[in-house]
Amino acid sequence: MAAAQGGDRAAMDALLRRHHERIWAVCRRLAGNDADAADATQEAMVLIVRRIGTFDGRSRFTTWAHRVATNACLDELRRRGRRSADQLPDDVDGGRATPDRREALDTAVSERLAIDDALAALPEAFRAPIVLRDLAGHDYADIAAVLDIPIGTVRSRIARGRARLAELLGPGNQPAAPDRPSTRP
Amino acid sequence: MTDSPTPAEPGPIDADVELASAHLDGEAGTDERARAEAPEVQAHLATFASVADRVRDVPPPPGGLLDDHVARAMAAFDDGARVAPLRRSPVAARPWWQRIPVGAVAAALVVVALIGAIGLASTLDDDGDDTATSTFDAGDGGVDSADDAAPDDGDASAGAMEESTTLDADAQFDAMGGRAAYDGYDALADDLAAQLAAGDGDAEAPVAESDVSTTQSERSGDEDAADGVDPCGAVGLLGLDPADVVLVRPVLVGADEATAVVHDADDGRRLTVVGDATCAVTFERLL
Repeated sequence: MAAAQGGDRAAMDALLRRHHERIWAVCRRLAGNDADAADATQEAMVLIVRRIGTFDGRSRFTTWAHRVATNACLDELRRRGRRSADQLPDDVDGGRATPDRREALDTAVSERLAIDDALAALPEAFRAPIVLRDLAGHDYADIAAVLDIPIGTVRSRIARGRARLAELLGPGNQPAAPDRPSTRP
Repeated sequence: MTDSPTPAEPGPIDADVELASAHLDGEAGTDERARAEAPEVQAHLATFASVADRVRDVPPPPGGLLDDHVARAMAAFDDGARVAPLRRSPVAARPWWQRIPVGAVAAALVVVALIGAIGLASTLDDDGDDTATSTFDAGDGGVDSADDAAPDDGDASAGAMEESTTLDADAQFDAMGGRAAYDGYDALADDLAAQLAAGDGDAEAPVAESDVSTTQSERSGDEDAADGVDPCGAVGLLGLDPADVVLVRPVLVGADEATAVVHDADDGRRLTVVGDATCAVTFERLL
């Protein structure tokens, strides 16, 4: 880390390679598809390079890198208009969804949505903490720091988000097929 | 207790759901862990564990993506190594006289010398060149006496000096990457809107040109210009066409250093503020 910060090219290259898969995984789950995730991951990697001088060691590098990556992913998605950046308050009310949206969700529930679709149906405010917890392995304090929200909010959003995911995935919710590759922490 | 609490249901969250979720993450308190043994909580726990497994099951990046991403990021690393330091020093870290670009000082000296030369020539004209004096006076309202003409010359010189000083200070401020300070984002937006409205048309073009060229000079190795200007590369970060960019300006909003970008969007002239610490969009508004 220090060598990369000091301008060591080989160290920076190694640092990026070491963190790429996890950053990809975070962006992939936040974006919901490979194409957007690829662009967002690229953006995140470039930002990490450009901002590494600002990393002051007060947090773990992984936490800092995921903060950059998460913001890059969410910004990329907002720019593309895939998500509303306005759905951030803790009292996000999916119940205000349009009838079409509600019908689509109901239909999707009955069809047991794939995890991508289920995550996509979650407001960003709930999706991000779940991804940072289950995929990146951050504790609540880290997630609070990355997303700049209180720890109590992290806890309630993860719980609400998981409950909603369980509902969307259906009563027959099963663990993923074992033959699929995984980036489990 | 309710069934299937969801984020679509505002209000208190089911206690068992929250406890199961926290317990799964190892974030439950001591007394909570005892309560987590209840069958209802355990049922939620099993469901959430399964959900978490599915969230973790991410398809791997497509082949070649790693090398491509690293290559592009390293290109940015090489650019950074060639030009500006990645960590921008605070605006006030150096004495003001060290933050004035040499070019700006030279330009100011030239302006002062020209004004001095004009003033000297006018004085000489007043002393002996009637033709030149009458030409000057005719243009200034036909003042005939030397005594009346002298104060006019002085006023004109003072006016020119004042204007020159103002412009020069602005130029220095911009060249230094100086940051105008605002109490909040709305104050920033209001001020930029007022500035752009006042200078709508010809006046705003040099602002954009100057600021964008300053950003470009960052990449060309001009450390003075790079110091304090758009550390996140906001224009590129926002995916904007430079032709649409009206203004790029480093600002202080409260205690936060940020970069304000105004660009012409489909819905009008839009201000986007990117926080320098996070390189994330912190504010957006139509002006």
